[in-house]
Amino acid sequence: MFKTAEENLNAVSAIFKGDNDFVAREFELPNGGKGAAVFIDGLASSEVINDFILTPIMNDRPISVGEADRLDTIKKASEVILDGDTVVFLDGFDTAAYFSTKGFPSRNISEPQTETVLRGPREGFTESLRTNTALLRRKLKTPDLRMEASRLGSRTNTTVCLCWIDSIASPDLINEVRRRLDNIDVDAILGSGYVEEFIEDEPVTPFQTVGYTEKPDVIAGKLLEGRCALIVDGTPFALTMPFLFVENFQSPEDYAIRPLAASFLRIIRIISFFITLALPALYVALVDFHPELIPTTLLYSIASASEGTPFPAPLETAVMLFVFEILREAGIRLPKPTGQAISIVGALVMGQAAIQAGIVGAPVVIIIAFCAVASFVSPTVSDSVNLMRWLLLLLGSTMGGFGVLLGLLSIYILLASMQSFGVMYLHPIAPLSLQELGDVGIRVPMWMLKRRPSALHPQDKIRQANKTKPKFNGGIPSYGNEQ
Amino acid sequence: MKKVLRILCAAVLLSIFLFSFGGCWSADEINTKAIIMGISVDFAEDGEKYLVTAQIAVPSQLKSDSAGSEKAYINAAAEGAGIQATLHEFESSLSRKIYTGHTELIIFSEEVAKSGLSPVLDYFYRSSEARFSVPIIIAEGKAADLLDTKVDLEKMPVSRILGILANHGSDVIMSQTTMGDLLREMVTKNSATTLALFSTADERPAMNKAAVIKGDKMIGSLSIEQQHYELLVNGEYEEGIIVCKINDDKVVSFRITKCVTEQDLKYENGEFSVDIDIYITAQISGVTFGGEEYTTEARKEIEQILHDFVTDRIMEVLQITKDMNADTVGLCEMLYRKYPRESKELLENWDENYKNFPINVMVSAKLTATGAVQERIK
Repeated sequence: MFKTAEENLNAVSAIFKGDNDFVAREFELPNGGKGAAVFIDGLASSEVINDFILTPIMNDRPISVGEADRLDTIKKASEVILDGDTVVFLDGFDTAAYFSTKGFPSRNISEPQTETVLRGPREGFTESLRTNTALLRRKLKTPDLRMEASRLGSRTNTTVCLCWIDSIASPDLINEVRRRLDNIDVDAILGSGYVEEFIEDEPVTPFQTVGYTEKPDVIAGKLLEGRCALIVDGTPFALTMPFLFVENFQSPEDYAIRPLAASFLRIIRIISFFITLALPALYVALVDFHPELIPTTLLYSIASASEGTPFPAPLETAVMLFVFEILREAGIRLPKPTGQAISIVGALVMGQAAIQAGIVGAPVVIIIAFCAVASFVSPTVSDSVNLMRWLLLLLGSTMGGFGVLLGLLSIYILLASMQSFGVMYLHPIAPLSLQELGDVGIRVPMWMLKRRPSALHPQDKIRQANKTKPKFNGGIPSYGNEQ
Repeated sequence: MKKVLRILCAAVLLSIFLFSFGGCWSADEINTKAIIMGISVDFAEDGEKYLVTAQIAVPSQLKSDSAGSEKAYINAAAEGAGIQATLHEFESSLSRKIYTGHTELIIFSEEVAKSGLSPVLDYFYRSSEARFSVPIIIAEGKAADLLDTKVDLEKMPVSRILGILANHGSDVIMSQTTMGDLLREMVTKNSATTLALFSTADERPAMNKAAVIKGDKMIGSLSIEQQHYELLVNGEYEEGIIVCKINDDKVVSFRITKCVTEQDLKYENGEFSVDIDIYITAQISGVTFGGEEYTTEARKEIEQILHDFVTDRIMEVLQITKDMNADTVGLCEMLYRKYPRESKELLENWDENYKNFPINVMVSAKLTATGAVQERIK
C-alpha cells in the first residue's frame, strides 16, 4: 500500500475501472491532509457512511461503527468493498481502515413455500447469509454453536458458513466436511446446489446424500443430533450432512403434533413412496402379465375401459406418465395465475377428453393421477423417484411382476450400498439398529428419544435425563382430587 | 476404462439373461382376451365327444352406465375329445384369445358326472391359469341349459348360480365343493363327497338336490334336507333351519345357531366303532302347539322333539349312504390314519364292511332362546 490516500485510491480505482456503482468520496481532513472513502453504491448503506463515518472524520471525532479493522493490501480492500463495507484511506498511513456498512436490499423473512407446516415455526431462511445465521443463533442460544466461514468460487467469492455444535458433532465429521470444501476449486458458487454437487458421496445416483432445508428449526434439530450444516450466501436453502434415506420421510411437523398422529403420517408417507414408485409398473404388470391376480369385478372394469383403446397398456401408461411429467414441470415454472390455466387444461381437457375420445382408458388416468398425488407427499425424495418410476415401468412392461420385483430389489441394493459422509445411507434400517427405529417408521414420544443417532458418532450421546416420562400422580391437592 | 468395460459387459449379460427368463412375449392385453366366466360340459350327440359351452363376459355391457339392452355375456359352444381340444376350437371361431384364469364355475351334466369327471378335470388341474377354488356343480339334464338361464339381479347366469351357491342363508345350506376339494376327495381312497345338483325350470336355475360323488363318478343323489344331515355328521353344518313336522298340526321349526360335531373312532377288543357326538344349540323360530309359557318341562319336551327328529334323520341318511356305498363320513380315511395296521384287513374290502360298520350317533339338543317372545301367540 501507498503512503498517500490519492495513490491508494488510484490503485483501487484501477481495479474497478470506472464501474458505475463504484463510489470514491474524497474529502479533506481538519489537519489539511486528504482522505478517501470507497464503497459500492447499493451494497453499502449510505446513511451509515454519511452519519457515522464521513461526518465524524471531517469533524475530527471518533468513528462509531460496530465492526472495523485495518487492512494492509489493496486486494483485501477490494474484497471487503465487494462485501458492502466501506474502506477509508488517509494520507500518511500505509494501511487502510474498513468499516462494516453492509446495507444491501434483501428479501424479508417469510414462510418457506417448499416446507409448509400447520403447527410449528413458520420463519424461513432468506438469501442473506447474515440473516440466516442470526435465525439459527436465535434457535440455538449456546456458545457451543460454531459458525466457520470460508470463501468459495474464485469469481463469485461466495461466503459459505459451516455450522455445528462443538460439544455434539464428531470432530472427524467436521474435518471431513472441511476437507471436501477445501477441495472445491471452481470459479462460481451461485447456490447451495453447487456446493452439494462438489461434496456429496454419490455423485451419479438419483438419490441425494446431502439434505437441504429452508427452515432454521430443522437445521437446529439436525445440529442437535450431531449433524453439521452449510449455509451458503445467496441461497435460502441450507445443506445438512450426513443425510440418510429415512430423513426423506421425516417432517418438522412430526415433532409438533402428537406421536400417534405423527407415526400414522409417517407410515402414510412410506406407503406413498412405494405407491408413487411402483404403482404404474405394478398396474402394467398385473394387467398384461398376471390378470389372475385382479379381482374378477375389477378385471371387468379394466377390460371394459380398455375396450377400443388403440394402445397397449404399457404404452398408454408411459404416455400418460410423460404427460404428467410435462404438466408438473410446466406448473412449477409458470407464474401462479397461468399455473391455474395449466391445471385446467391438463386435468380437465386432456384427462377427460382423452378418456371420452377413447384414446386412453380411465384406469390408467386414475393410476397416474394417484401416483402423482402420492409423489407430492415426500417432496425431497420425489425427484429421485420420478426417474426410478420410469425404470420400473420399463421392467414391469417387459418382464411383469418379476421385473418389478427385480427393479425394487436393485433400488434396495443401490440404497444399501450408498453412504453419506461415512454413514450407511439406509441406517438404521440396514444395518439394523432396533433402538433407533423409534424415529424412523414411527415417531415415539419425545421422552423416549433418549439418545442421539449412534451412526453420527456424536460426542455427547445422551439427549435427555433418564426419567423424563411425564408422570403426574394425581391432580392438584387443593382441588381435592389427589390420587 | 477397464472397469467401465467390465460393468458394461455385466449389464449386457444380465439383461440378456433376465429378459430371457420372462420377456414381453408373455404379455397379453386384456382387450385381446375372451374372459371365460363359466364352463359347462355335456356329452355331444354322438355320445363320445364332449360338448363344451363357455360363458364369455362382454365387459362393455358390464359397465355400470351401459344401457343393459344387450346381454353381458355370450355363450360359445364347441365339440371335441377333451377340454383342450374344444378350447382350441373356440379360438378358431372367436375374435379373441380364450382366457380361463377367471373362470368362476364349472358345470357337468349328470351324464358326464356318472361316466367320470377326471378326463375333463385333468385339463384344469394341469392348467396354470385355472383356480383351484372354482366351485363345481352338476346339472340335471343338459349342463349348457344352466348357462342360458334368465338373469336376475346379476348380469350373467354364472353370477346368479354363484349367488345361489353362496347363499349360506337361513334355509339353504350347501357344501360348496371346489375343484381343489374334489381333487382331494378323488385321490383319497374310498371317499365320497357331495356336489350341488342344479336343475333348470322355467329357464331359472334351481338347486334342489345334492349329487353324491365317489371317486370321480356320480353314484346317486340326496335331497337337500338329507344333505343337511350329511353335513351335520361331517361337522360342516354351522347354522340353518330345521323344521320338525310331527304331524299335520304339530310343527316346530328351529333356528340352529351353533353345531359342534365330534367324531371318535374306537378300537376295542378287535372291534371298530365310531361315536359321532353332535351338539346342537337352537332357538325356536316357529311353533304351532304347546302351552302358554315355556317352563323348564316345556323346553325339555321341545328339546326332545329336536333330538329325536335329528337322530332319526341322521340314521336315515347314514343308511342311504351305506346303501349307495358312499363313505361320506370319511371313515375309511379316519381308519387308515388312526389304525393303519389294525384296519388293513377291514379296508381291503371296505365297500362291504362299510355297510356293517357300527356308527353310534349321539345328539344333544339345547334350546337357548324361544325367539323374541316368551310364550306362544295364539
